[in-house]
Amino acid sequence: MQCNECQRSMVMTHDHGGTRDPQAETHLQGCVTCQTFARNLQGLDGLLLADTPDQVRPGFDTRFFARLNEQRKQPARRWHLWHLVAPLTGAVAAGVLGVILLAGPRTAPDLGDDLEVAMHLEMLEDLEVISNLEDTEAFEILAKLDEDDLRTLLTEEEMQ
Amino acid sequence: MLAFQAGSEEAFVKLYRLYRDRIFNFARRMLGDQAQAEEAAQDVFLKIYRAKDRYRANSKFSTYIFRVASNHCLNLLARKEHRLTDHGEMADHPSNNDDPESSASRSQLRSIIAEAVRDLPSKQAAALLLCLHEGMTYRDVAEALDTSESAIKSLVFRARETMMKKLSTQLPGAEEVAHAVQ
Ligand SMILES: [Zn+2]
Repeated sequence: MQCNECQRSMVMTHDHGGTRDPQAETHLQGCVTCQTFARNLQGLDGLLLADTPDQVRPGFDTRFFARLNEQRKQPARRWHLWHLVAPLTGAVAAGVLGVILLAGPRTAPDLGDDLEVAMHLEMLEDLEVISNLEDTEAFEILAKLDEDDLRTLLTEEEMQ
Repeated sequence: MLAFQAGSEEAFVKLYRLYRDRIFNFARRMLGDQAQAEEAAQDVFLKIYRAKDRYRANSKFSTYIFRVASNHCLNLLARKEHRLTDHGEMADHPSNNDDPESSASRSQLRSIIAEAVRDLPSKQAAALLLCLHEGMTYRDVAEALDTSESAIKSLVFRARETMMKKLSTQLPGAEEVAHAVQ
């Protein structure tokens, strides 16, 4: 094994844990260069981690929420327009959703963003299980849902 | 639907509070400047807010937000003026509760590290910081940086290699370092 391979292997183990590759271990025992590299790997992390997390300066939240309020004005207009076409798009979305869930391919087709949003909202409205969760949990879970999860949840809803 | 939207608004604020400091510190380490990092962190949350109904359903929220943050910082760094900013500026914004001595040494350490990070190719820097400070797996870093896991292995390795050379005088056994990194 070359020094470079051994060092790459050390970095991998260093980042991901687990046991070191036996070949790398053998090389390391007989190679002063790689032994020094191993020490420096620890030393480097120690140094970088000494840059501990800092805090934002006072006024950060105030500035942020002021910017957020500014931004909210724009999406509000979009939602207003959206509500005009919601009944029609909702029906289309429900149809497309039915096709996807019952007979569709395992990956969702490439739909427009608005339709995708509509599908999410339509689904979520029906999913009491989500609305009963703590908000942050709900957000986290929504971020992880895939098609199989949604299929299961919808089936459970129908059975109740 | 209204209830859900109201709910997600609250959820957003909770997520903001959960991730604010992490995103800020990631941006600070990437950009090397407190004021720019604060603005960048705010930009990230504004982007998240705008796109809150458009998650890729199969991605973890932490990966998603660091993907947005990485992209944003990489874009900022790609603009030359950010590269040319005096990173010594960090010392101008000490935290309120620091005593002057520890603040000075921390500021010195930060400026040494910031300089080394700044000299890395931006994507290497992002990969290393996500791995080291966020404890993300290569797979999650790959997703955040929109590349392959094997590319991340290389990026992280090269970042560490370069940092060892750059920071050789700061590491224990300093005189040996230059020899060890080949
Ligand atoms: Zn060796």
